[in-house]
Amino acid sequence: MNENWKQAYEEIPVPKEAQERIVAGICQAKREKQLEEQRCPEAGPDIEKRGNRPGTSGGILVLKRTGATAAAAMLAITLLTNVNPTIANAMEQIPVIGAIAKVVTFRNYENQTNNFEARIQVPQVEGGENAEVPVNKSIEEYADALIHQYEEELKASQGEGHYSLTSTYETVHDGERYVSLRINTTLVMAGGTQYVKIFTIDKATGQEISLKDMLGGSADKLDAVSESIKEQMKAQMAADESVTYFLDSDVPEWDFQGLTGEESYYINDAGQLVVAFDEYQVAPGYMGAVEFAIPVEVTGELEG
Amino acid sequence: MRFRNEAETEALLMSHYEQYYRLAYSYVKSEQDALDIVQESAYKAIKGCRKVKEPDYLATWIYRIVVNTSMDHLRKRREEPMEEDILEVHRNAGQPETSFSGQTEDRLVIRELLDRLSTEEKTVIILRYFEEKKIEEIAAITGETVSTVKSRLYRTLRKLKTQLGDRWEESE
Repeated sequence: MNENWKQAYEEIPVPKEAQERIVAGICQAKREKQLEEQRCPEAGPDIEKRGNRPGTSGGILVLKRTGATAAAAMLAITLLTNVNPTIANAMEQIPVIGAIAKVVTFRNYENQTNNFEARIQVPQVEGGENAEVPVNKSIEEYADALIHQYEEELKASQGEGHYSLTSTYETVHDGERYVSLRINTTLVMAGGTQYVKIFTIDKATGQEISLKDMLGGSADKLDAVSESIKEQMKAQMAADESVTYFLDSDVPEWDFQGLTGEESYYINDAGQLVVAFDEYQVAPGYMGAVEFAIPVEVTGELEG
Repeated sequence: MRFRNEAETEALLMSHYEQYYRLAYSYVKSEQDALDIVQESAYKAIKGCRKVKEPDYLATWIYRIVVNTSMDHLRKRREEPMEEDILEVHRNAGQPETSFSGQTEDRLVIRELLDRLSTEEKTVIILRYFEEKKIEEIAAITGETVSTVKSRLYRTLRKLKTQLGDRWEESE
């Protein structure tokens, strides 16, 4: 056996399509795995998955990966700023954050070892008068889990491979009552990894508020929001051939059936409820992570 | 662990897909079939990677999937008419060999010889010499014992040596 032998083998041409087919296989498997998990959210693997990440109580936290491109991940935390005097008085509680919530960088985690690098900004919400802001603990835990994950991967790599983890934050909404803090986390290896997490916290009590709670616990309203999303999907697909959602598709079990009330959401500057889905959840991977802004007529006035 | 396995499997698939394709192609000798095999293998790998306890074993395990998936394709094909294979052979036979340099010609001979091996023989030769796997890894991939792999490897080498004659001595 000499080099000629190996070369003869390596000259077997690999069509460009091979990579696409690998990605297709990966995506198909992931999509199916996710559907299985959604069907039985309390099954073993899912619990294990939740255990890997912080702040999972009540909110949804779903892990997704893209086949070919790095996708931005986002964590949006909607804070309920308790500035409504009537409610504040009724609850006999002092607002934790107050009218002006300030989001600042608490610390930065930076590391570069061989081809591994991490840059993680850890924000915190500043309250008035040294007030304890409960959500900071969740934000901190989320960052710690990212850092832990990075350090574990670094340790396991023994200097081999590429790994890049970047996490930044931005305030996407700062209203009278809510502050939405979005944490964008991008993980790049061979492909990209996407985390999507949104949870809503009542700053006065530290309790999380689900999408259903935000809609006043009304199943009718939740249905109305689901219908609005379906209509938007249909309209977008009709207007643009390249747009695809899992709706009225060949595989009915993949189709978007409606909201459970535990989905990720935030409120945008127009005061609209924005429901955010993960990749593959309601559309094929190439569509990325999709969001739907719900008209105010559907949800009713929401406090901003 | 589960998350790591999946990330690791995806990284392996994306960085080694050319190897998986060549391996599959060596068995099925058809671009379309080899493409089907790599897609199916990637699907099986991501779906099943949770079951792999030891992450170091993932690379070996993916090869195992590719080999087994290729074998399945071959088995299925045996039940169907062989037209495509015959066509392929004729195409290869019609190639103007005179236009190749001596070295290229050698490689064509090598590929032809390789095609004459049984799938089991092919597997050990490809994995040992082209993918540079250790005997132990090959045994893990094919699900056989180390001694079985070893004796098959030596038997196959002897066979190739006989068929190549002088050419083998040159290249050794």
